Amino acid sequence: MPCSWAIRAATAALLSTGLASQADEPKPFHFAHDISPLLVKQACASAECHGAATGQAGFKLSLFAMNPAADYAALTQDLDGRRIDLAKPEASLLLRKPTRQIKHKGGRIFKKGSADYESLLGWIRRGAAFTENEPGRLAKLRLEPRDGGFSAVAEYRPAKRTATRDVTRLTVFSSTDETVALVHDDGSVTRRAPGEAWIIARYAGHNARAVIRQSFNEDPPDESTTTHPLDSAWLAGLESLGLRSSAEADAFVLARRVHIDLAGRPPTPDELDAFIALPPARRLAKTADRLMRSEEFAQVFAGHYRHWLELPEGRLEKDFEKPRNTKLRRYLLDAVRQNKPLPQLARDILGGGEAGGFVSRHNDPRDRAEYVGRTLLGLSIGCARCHDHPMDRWQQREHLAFSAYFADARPNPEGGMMAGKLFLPGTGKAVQPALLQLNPAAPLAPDDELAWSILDGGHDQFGRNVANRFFGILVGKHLVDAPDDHRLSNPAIHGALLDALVREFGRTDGDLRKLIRTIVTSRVYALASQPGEGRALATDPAARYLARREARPLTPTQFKRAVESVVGDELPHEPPPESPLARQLYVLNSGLIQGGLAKPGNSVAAIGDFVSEPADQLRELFRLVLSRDPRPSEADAFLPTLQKQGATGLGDLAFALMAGREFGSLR
Amino acid sequence: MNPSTLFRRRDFLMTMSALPWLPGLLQGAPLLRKSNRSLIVLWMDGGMSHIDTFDGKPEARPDIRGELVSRESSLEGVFLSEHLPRLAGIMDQCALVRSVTSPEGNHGRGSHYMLTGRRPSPVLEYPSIGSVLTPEKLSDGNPIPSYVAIPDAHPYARQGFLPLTRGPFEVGGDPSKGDFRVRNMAASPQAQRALSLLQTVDSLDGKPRSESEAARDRFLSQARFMSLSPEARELFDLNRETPEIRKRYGRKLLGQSALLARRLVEGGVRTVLVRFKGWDHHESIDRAMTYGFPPKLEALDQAVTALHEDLARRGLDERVTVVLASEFGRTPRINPRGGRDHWARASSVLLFGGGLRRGVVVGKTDANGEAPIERPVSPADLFCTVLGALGADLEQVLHTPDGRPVRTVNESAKPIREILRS
Repeated sequence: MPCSWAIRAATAALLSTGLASQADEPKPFHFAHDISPLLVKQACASAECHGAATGQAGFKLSLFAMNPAADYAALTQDLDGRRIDLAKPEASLLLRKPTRQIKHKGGRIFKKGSADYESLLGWIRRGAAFTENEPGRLAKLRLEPRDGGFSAVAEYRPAKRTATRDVTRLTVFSSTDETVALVHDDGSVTRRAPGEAWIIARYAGHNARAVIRQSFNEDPPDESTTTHPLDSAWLAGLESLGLRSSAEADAFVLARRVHIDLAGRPPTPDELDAFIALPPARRLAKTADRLMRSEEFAQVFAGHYRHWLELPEGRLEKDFEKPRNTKLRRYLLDAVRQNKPLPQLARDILGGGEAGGFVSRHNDPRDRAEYVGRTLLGLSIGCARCHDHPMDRWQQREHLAFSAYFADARPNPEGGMMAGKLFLPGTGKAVQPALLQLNPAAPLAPDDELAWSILDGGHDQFGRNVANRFFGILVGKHLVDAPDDHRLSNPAIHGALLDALVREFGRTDGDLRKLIRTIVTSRVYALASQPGEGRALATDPAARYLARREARPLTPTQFKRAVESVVGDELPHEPPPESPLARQLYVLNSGLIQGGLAKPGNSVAAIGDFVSEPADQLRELFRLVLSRDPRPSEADAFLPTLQKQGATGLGDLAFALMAGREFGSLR
Repeated sequence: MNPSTLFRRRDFLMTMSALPWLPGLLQGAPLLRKSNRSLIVLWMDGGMSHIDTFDGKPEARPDIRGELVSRESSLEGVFLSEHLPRLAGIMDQCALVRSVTSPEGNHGRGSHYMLTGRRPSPVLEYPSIGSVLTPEKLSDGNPIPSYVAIPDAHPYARQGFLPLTRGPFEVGGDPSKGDFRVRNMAASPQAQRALSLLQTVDSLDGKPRSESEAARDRFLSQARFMSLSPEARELFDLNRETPEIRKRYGRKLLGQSALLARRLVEGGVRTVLVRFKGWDHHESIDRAMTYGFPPKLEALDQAVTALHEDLARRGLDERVTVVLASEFGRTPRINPRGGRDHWARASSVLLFGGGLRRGVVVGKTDANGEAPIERPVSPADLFCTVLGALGADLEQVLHTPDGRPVRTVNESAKPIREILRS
């Protein structure tokens, strides 16, 4: 039977001074559950204060109070125990400093007589023990809605039962978007604007979250129906926010979009015609299927794989000591060509074969472990290299144990190989390797335990990571952003959409092309990028919550390929630089566009040579460069140029179109 | 880096913070408020030996002292290499920190610490000093870049976790070459001809559809100004300087880069980083520093003193702060190949100009130049000091792409008050 010893914290002091009536059942107490959280909530254990690596003013707490035993020792033993005075509890430094009865550089943290003061005082009066009436293992933290906000409830498992306790007063609350909802110290929430915000609670090393949604109330509501697995989840998400989705982009925009995404360049005029000629419902699917069989697709996605698996682009200055990774690049290209299932790709990377180089190009086993976490699981375990992270489940010892998996094997002097070892700093003890436990309830691992723990292991984190990454590549917005940082306090926008995508990924056994097909045939892929009237670009909720597409610049490679595709020839220039000013100077003056237009027989010159009517020339030029027909206003503006200046006019207009805003943008 | 990260969630929040219903919720105050102060960083890439430049040890054993002779400078107790005679003469007008000490003895990590004021982290790449000084938003009326690197930027002299718009603009060429041009700055004839067409193309396209398109418009107008306006061309044109001045700075890369840096800060550029490579002297350090065209130390002596003199003559010495630094010092003991290896426990940094006191020396290394024995200073302290000299808000908070607040200046860093004026 669950036994609730929920106590309003303010009465804790009364209880301890013997005024309480509930004397029959002694109150369980544990330093880690009652004192550490208080030190966290008052920011005593933050990096700016006593949680700093060297402490503050001679008093050191573990960062975010993640090591209660050490903190208990610091409080009770250091400084000859002056921090806690059992004989005269009120004289303890632990109370006199934060109330500023004596000098405290951190200022006054709480007042004498406040709830925090009283609970510390009560604890000292009772003898400042580490634990009393052992409360059992803290199993879980959850947020329970109450009027105007949330209560944090901790679940304990003392021998064979569950006990709960309200820990709101000891819990740290934060909001993922304070412009939408602000959460106060007592768990109450102030709603500020429409949108979605997650309230994150943190208590004694446990986290919980709950969502706050406030409708934008746009009408009329979107009542479209769909059978596409992604779209139903996405539309439900928009409905919960009261947002209307924007219209679908027109066929010309979609043609350009899907060609740039899958072939790395805009469509040729023939491809454009073929796209328009298809029945609207089948345009994207048919075109994607065709493009995915091309070598261009393999090149483009091998590039995405490289970026995902963190192979440097070229021999960058920062990587001057590292080899060019030719074999690994070739491996990726072949993987896309053969449509190798993504779980198999991961297995190769974790195995000892050629693709093992992705991991072994990092020297330090800890770098390797973090690399695997980031790229294959989308988890940033790097914080735990140095300290336990308050918002992450990974602890320093788990980081170290997982790293031990990647310690190199060395030749054994007696013959054969000796397993590599990682040693605990300072102690010289070898660390026992252990896998990351994503699902503690998962059955025991088979032989191939490392790959199994990442790809299977009773969780779908590999699929979530990969699905999220490729969704981001194609739609321009990651559902979990940053894609290498999936954690409780970094929730997905449209979580249900990500779930649906992960199911598709599992259903197709991690087939990349099927995943791409699912994404590009959805309505969320086909949305128009035109912002609504009067919407400020930076704050438009439609872009934020995926109710419309957000235009983004072509990547340097895409830009160069687009120019080459227009002129119909390869060009010797480097792709544009990343600095935005340098890129615009490059567009104007590098000679990439000019050089292409000066090539004999280029596609623009061919229009001048083979099309006689200026109006037709203009139409051909627009289809070639911008993959659409000229609008009447554009015809009015540019026809005189073509009529009066002939071939020069045509070349100059082609230049202006390629230097223009629309050409450089993926809309 | 993916250009889609050009604009990040943080920018979104920043703009939100301008809305009246969110008073003071998010901090977006500029680092420098309405200031015309500028910074020139002379970056001695590779690790400049402190013993053979600003921290001479004439009394030490020959295998420490080295082949190069040190002499006392115009500042008492400060010994400079005899190959830096002019610098020795102006030491009484500079601030010298001889006790910079760091645990990072690898080029990449040491440079990261020195240029960003933060030790490298496995989870974050921090922005360099030039990037933190670059305003968040490019205003429409600002025709020249805020942060320029000559000839290019060190990999850790970039924007780190900040958006690409706050990265350096690299001139991409050696200003001492006769045919020096800023990369892609010379307007191509077709671009000139098609410019009005381009304007029509963009205006018929209507309003920009995203923040990245709006930024492209602003940078295009900046690019247009840079390649077409006579003012911008003049700004980068060293031929506008008299032959005497050009000669005074030294005819090679460092000298002409320093001269260009002066022109740029005069024209309103906030930060200029001059990258002068070739200090990684693992072998025959004495020859490497005193031979060549021109010898390294001679080029340094000439360029830095010319800059100092020129800034003063033009009345810029209160407005422009100059820092000469390197990722670390070099081993006090000469190695078997006659060189010195990486040594991060001690190095020297020279500063002068705006916000700084003159004729101060901070800290001291031991008799062999191995470690500070007085007033150790971390690269973070130094970073903080330079921002302090520029009058920056040392409490300012930056935000990582995922919204985590990070102080611009490392929490534990303290400015070196002895060299700051006011």
